[in-house]
Amino acid sequence: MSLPYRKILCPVDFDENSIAALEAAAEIARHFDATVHVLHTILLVIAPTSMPVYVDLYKAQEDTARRNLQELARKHLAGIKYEIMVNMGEPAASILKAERGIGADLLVMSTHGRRGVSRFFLGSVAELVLREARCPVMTVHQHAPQKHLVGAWMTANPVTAQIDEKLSTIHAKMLEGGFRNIPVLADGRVVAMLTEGDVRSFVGHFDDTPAKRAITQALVTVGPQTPIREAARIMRERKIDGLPVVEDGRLVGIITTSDALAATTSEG
Amino acid sequence: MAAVFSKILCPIDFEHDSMDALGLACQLAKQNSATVYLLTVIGAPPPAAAALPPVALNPNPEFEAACIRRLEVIAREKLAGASHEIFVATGNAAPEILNLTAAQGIDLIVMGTHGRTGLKHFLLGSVAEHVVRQSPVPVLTIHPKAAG
Repeated sequence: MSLPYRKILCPVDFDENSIAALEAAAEIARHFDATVHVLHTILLVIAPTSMPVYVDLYKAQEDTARRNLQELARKHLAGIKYEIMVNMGEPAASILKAERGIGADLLVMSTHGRRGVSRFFLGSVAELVLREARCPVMTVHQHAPQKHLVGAWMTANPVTAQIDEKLSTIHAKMLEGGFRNIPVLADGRVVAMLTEGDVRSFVGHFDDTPAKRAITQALVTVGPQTPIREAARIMRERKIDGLPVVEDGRLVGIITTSDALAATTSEG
Repeated sequence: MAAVFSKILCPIDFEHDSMDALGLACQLAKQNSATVYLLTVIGAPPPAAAALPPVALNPNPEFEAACIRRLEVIAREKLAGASHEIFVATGNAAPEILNLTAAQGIDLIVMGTHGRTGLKHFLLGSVAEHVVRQSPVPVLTIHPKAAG
């Protein structure tokens, strides 16, 4: 815990809270001429140990995360030494592993992810890290995203499919994660939402059907600043289950009917 | 380069955790030419007394004077010349820490993760948790394991 800080670990989640943390890390790094290690953890939703782990399935997501991290770093870490890391697994464990791995002497993080605020006191990730980290932890608080907005309820960084990806791998991703909708990307931009129904109508032909042939829905997107009621209205009117959340042309999350229900049934 | 932090609040409960935090606050203060704000909160009665009818917690001038003297000693011994201010408040620790943060325009809080209450090694101190959750400014927490 001695000064000056040389290695600052900053876990980010591509939401506005993480950006506040990243900016705080940048300020400190500038002061101490330190290196900021920017870490994003891709949540792995694989449960049973007996199942083969299709790590390749997450390759696209990893690439996207890496690109997004580069972009964040360019924007917020100008003139500062930085390293980018993408891990897979459970976020708190990943952060603690990175802390020990790089020998971080300061950890800067936000106190909650987008959804944490309403459900836990502290982000459960932040709390675990605070309890277990060996180095000092600086928590940066940014006012919680307003609860009537999509940003507060969406799932950030959803698992995605590529436009030319075969339905067989997409189906595996959906099964693994229990998703009923998966955003489809082409050249890094979201072009469609593929539903469970779309995929199922090609049963028996998964291996020779690319995503683009199965798409049936016209693309409708919302932004993190869209009121949750508006998103719910769109989903009800169009009888759809999930909407991609797009900000500055970039996919930042997915909002589903369950999220909308959660928003309307949450107290306070 | 302008200093990152200019007013650093370090709540002191006269236990080891807070002394570790103070050491770090002191280093940061020197590095930034910042002022360290030392705050001791004279607490409410222990939980066992909660069954009794609530009593207004009135500031006790004698207690406060004693705390100020202790803080002055700590400042002399531990801060080694860093500029500092001393505050004593009476009430619940977390709200008082946040009040002072707002009133003095504090820009960083440095504290241990274990408060006076709670199961050590298991819980995040309730005071630290409350402060981390509510603070508008960054909070730097130090785990006792980290203390070198």
